[in-house]
Amino acid sequence: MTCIGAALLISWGFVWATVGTQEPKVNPEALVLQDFKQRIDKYMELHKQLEKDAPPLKKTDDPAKIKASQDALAAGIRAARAGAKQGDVFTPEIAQRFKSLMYPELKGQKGVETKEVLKEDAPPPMALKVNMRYPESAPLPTVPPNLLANLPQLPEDLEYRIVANALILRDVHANLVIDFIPRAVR
Amino acid sequence: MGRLIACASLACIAIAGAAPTAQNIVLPNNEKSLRFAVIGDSGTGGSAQIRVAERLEAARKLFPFTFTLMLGDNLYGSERPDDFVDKFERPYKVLLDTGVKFYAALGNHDDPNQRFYKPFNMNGERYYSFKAPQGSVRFFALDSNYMDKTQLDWLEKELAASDSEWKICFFHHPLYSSGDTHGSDTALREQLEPLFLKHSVDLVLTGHEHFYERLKPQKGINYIISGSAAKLRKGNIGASDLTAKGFDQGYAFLLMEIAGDDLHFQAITDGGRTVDSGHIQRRVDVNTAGKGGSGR
Repeated sequence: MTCIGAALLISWGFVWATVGTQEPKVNPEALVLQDFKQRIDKYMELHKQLEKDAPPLKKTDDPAKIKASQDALAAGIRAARAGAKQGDVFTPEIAQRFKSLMYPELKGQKGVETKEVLKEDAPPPMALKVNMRYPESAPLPTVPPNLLANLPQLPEDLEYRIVANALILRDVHANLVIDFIPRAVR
Repeated sequence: MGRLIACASLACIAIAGAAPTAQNIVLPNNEKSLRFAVIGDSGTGGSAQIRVAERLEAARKLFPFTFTLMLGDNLYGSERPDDFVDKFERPYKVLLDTGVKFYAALGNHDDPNQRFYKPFNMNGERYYSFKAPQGSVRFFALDSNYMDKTQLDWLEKELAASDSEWKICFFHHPLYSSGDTHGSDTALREQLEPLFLKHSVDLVLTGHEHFYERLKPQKGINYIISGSAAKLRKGNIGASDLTAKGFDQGYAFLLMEIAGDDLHFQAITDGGRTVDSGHIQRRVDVNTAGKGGSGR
């Protein structure tokens, strides 16, 4: 009995050890979004660092001060991300995940209504580039709230906008396009 | 409904070379009331904005409102420092110089960095609330361009925490509209209306549509669109069961006065003509029937 008991204990221990060493199952879609969050965190680290060197963006009677702060931060970010290219934040995997998240709101009758909203507030056509300044005279298209509800939350200084059928990631303070997903809305 | 309101009908004396002749004010005009103005889609810097601004100045001589709500599209086109002067400071100089405060909401033509511009009184926030200087009234300015979860959570919390008798929300995109160009923003409505109902919001003011439209109360909530303080889409109000009163033939702004449980309103054109007026009774609770606007 003792031997059997010992054998059982040993075999249970083996099973336990085997289970214990297995990689826990991870949702691959969650991993993609985790990757996105890390890329956003990394960008915001840079943003905050460069903000320290720019004139502060604070309440003022003088709009020139708001503009000066915006321009200085934009210049800093452009210099620091001079080599940035489309897909650095929205990697192909992240872009695909975002399209999947938006898709339920873009199909059927709901999709027709959502696209109507996008069409109404659409800015004039523009060639999107990473690090470009969002054109000052162009309206900032409204992001339908049902689409926003499906996308990951962003820090206060970043926002999504939809231009033509692309989803852009915009730095609000610097008024810069940080990255974009072409053909995100179909 | 249909209650008689004591109105101060004040004729004005035209002075050669002075600002436009003021219109008749058909509001109670009680100095103990909360008096304010409302403009939407105002920031063009063009002649229509100037005319409306002059009409506001003339109205204020008779009806001394203390602040103005801006319903978005505060600055069309570029937003260089000069544009703040041309599209806001110069048109409203007389009002600003006489101490009228402006509280802005962001429209789709507005850079969110406008929130740092002190004269817009946004306190550095894209959405904010403030308690009126008189009466038990709280205003909630929303950023309807970007209604994310953070903002919705904030709104829920703010509405729940408010013990003001009057809760008035203002933002850019109308939840209900008979406009042929835009129409009702149903996606936004899905997000906001449940909160408005739950927390007994009394009145919702929006712009975006370049006309004036007072809607029949929707689920007990009053909605007014006032988006023609500088832009106009003539003939853009489509046939609809929603409209209580519409005006799409000229530029317009609103004057409002809250006294106790009544909110009185008057919509006035750039030519000084009153195109709508009436009063709204405060919602006592979400289940109270028979509330809503009554036009005269």
